[in-house]
Amino acid sequence: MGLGKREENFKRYIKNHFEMQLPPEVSLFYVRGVRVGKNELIKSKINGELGYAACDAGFNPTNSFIQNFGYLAKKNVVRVKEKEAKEFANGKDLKMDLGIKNKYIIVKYGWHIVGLGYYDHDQKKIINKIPEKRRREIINEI
Amino acid sequence: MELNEFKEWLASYTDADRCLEAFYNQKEFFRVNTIKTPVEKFLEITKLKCDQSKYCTEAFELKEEENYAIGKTWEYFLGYIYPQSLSSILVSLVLGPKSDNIILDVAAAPGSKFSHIAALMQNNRLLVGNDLKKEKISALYSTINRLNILNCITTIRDGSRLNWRERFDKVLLDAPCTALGSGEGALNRWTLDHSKKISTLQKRMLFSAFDALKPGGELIYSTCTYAKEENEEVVSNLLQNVQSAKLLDIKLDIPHDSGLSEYGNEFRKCYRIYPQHLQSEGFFIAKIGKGD
Repeated sequence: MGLGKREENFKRYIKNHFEMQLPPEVSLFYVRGVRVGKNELIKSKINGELGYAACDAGFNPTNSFIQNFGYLAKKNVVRVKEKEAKEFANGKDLKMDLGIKNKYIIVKYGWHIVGLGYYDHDQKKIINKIPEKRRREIINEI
Repeated sequence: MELNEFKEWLASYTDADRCLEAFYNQKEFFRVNTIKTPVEKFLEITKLKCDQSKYCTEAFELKEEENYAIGKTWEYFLGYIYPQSLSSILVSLVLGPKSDNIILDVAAAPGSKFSHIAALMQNNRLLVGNDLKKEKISALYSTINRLNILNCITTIRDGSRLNWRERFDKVLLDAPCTALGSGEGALNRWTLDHSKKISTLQKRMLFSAFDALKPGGELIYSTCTYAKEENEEVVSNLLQNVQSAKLLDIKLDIPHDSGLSEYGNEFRKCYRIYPQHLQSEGFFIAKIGKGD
């Protein structure tokens, strides 16, 4: 799949799933260190994928993408209380019955985006998709 | 090196007692990541007890009673802040990034100045973050992702052999150094020979970084150490060998000592920031221009 098509498909996915429209200036895709979409300036030998632009063949969103752009989502957003938000930030799954089918959701506390989760209908819980390195034991309030 | 011996050496630069006292009693600072939240909004939402710095609107001093690990706060987790010393924050202000610039940070990891530069560019145009090793770039990625930096690419190259001739409007070389101004451990390990040795690498890196600068561009050379071998001598070596390189005035009104004039009067344009100036890390900053 060409890069342009891939970007187009990804944007369609997030629009359908999260009702999320990225700002027009955000069209940055990084593949093998080459910045495409604007004038290519420097080539590098390393992989330069940033995570939010990168998505796998099934267009699963990444936690980074959600933490940075989740505020734009209007659909599949689950608001939680502070205690649950802290647990989720610390990497725990959240046991709750949302009455929805299996799907990716955004966990939000107040207007803060805590991270990406996957709702498992059978287990009735939000499976934590925050990478281990990003998880934190939060010790204050906001 | 024994402390007395070190103090004697340090006294050739500054008031050693005041410097060391301030060094051991540094204030804790952080920077608001304006990419994710404007300062005004941050002040509305945060419950951290902090004071805004008078030298930089996005810099804040954490009050002493606020003694918990800043890395465990919501503000950190959500990417609203980056813990960074005040003197380190000021380096990016000296660089003066503009939103239409193409900028290179030669030794970017873990991304403190890099992320500040991105914020000052308002996440526009292009910022290239380079470092020597993949592990270091991995730390840089964490910063990029947490703070939502969009205008960047990262590269892994030897900073002393970049081979990017005249591509950048501005270049930051925050060089690897003996870190006498920032690390307590560094002070215990340091010898003058160490400074002399690393100076060779710094000189090569500065040549390479300067080569990457477009004519008319500006380069910031900085270190967090005091030894002249790693500071004025490195810059002097460039000025002596490259005709188009010249020292520029730094227009930032902050407490500092001037660079050492034993290398020439123009070195008074450089800033030597000692811990007693800002209750923060020691830094050396030189601003170098490239003639057309």
